[in-house]
Amino acid sequence: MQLWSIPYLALLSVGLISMGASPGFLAFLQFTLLPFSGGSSHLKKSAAYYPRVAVVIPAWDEADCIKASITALMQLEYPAERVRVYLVDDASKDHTPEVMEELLCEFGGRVVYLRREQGGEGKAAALNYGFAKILSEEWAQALLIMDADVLFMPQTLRKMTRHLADPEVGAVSCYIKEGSASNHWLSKYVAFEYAIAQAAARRTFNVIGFQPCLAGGAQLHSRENFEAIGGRIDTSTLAEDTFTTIKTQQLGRKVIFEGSTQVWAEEPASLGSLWRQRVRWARGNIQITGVFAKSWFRRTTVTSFPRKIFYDLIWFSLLLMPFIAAVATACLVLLYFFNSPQAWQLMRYSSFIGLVCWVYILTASLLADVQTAKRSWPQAPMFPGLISLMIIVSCAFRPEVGWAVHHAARWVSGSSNWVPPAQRLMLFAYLWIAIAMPLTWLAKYLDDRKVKYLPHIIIFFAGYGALVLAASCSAWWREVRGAERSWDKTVKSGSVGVGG
Amino acid sequence: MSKKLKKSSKKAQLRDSAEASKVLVGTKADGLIFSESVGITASSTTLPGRVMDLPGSWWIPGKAMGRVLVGTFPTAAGVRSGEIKPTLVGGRRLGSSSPGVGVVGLQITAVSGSRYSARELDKLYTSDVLEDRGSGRNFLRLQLVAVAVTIAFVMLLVVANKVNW
Repeated sequence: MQLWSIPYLALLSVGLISMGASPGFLAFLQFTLLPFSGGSSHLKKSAAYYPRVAVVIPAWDEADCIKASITALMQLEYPAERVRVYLVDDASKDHTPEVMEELLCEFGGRVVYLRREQGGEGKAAALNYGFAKILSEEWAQALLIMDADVLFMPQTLRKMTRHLADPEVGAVSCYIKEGSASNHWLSKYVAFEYAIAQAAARRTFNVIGFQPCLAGGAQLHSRENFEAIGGRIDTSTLAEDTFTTIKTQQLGRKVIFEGSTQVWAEEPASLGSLWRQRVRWARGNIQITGVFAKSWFRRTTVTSFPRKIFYDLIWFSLLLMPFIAAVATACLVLLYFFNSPQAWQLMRYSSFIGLVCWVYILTASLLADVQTAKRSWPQAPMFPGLISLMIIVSCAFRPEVGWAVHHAARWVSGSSNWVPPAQRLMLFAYLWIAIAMPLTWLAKYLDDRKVKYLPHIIIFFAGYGALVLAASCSAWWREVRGAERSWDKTVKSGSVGVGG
Repeated sequence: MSKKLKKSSKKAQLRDSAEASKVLVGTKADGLIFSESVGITASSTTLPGRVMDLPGSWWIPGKAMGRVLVGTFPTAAGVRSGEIKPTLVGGRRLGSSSPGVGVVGLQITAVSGSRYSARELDKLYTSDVLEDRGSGRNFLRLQLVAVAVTIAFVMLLVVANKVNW
């Protein structure tokens, strides 16, 4: 029986396979807004505005980081008497108190040390402890939430506060760059990922007029806005920064991403640590979707309805990516068994579109942050993984089963006469993403056990993108079975530096 | 900072702090410190509290020790002032009246209580806006390059698919 002869099923399959290409295509459409991000800049409505800023830093065993980060804050090109740093020590067991004692001596009244005797309840709980103290006084006109490992550039804070001169703006963030001093291969992948997700994507969200998340590493709120969203961080989700961002916009205040300035942060240098961080983020996003269930695909006062719909489509395409990939793969395999030529044709079309989208997103992101491009250029094109790239390139370029895959199989077999089973190669190509995800989990497993080289090789072939997708699958699984919402702290070594 | 030091520092035509990755501690003319322009990379090593080694030839009279130098450091490194600290050079302590050749330690100190006038704050804002407009135009140019690359790639893809290999 030919599936193609059953119009409804065929149509459904084609539709579902096309849906598989939709996240990439939506991302492409989103990135076409990038050249317009300058024109829609909020700079016109900004002004010289230097409010009194209370900087809140939650710290849990961060003794290695806090000295550099607080000292950088003391060096801001901003009126010193208008910046006060509140470090909330979440019952650290390391030598954080001793480091703070030293800093208190050095910087006097500009640094306030708050220590919780009972800690470990997560970042949000520590932040709320600090907010209670800050909001009980009249001093603060704005609140800057940051992480203990983040290093501010001298001009960063004033470039952020200038947007708060516009009363319609509730919160501002900036580009958080990967700044690990080490030259670890994983740091380079993360640096490029941030170039895509922040330097490029958040600029496009400025054009759309609705931001999904201002990173918790550098999130500035006006006092009015912060009090309006409750004066505290919601502790019911694992994505406290996304919550404050969406809540701010839901209440009618704009959120701005300031792409012209940056801060430096240390990102995970091991696959295990990265995995836990991404699972936490993905779980947070799933929870956020539920918390704001009534606001999706609805009008908002901060942007136009079509733009909001576009934003919502992007949000859900990323959130549901594991399901979209699974359904598209299943449909492609099903179609392969019923009508292989049609399946192949669809694979070719989607590869063609996917490759063009990837080339644009890749070049646009690299050119959005040339400094990162210089650092991560070998990792950037390999983001989807070598095998995915070979499949997609060979499918897009050749009318028969891929030239590159064909020759790779010949090379592996060691025989120049060996003819690869074209049909089976097709099936392999369709199933590859489902194979790649467990492989990335294996890479994480090996990295946790300190196996050298092999994790890197696996990620090189299977793809960093597949790793993030696998972490997203894990997050869904944990949410579905109601796993404990524990706060897995990302271990920081304090090796971050200005300039990476 | 003493008036004398202020005056001599001015005479020395210290480089503007905006010149990233370069610092001119002083010139021979001011009688305080002699140095070539010294490269400082914007990294954590230039953060306050850290001692930087400045290579080159130095002659530092004792009176310069512990004096604060303002406006001679790269803004990119987040440093606005520094203090010269005695450092051992070849086993000999600098700061004596005899010249030392080798490496001098420069202790970067934190700026505290720095006050800006309203005019200076406005000036900072204006320079930021001008800088951002310039970098915004550059950003647009680079994004148009990305669009051109993609269009060229699509053409390549179409042609490659039409050619009979």
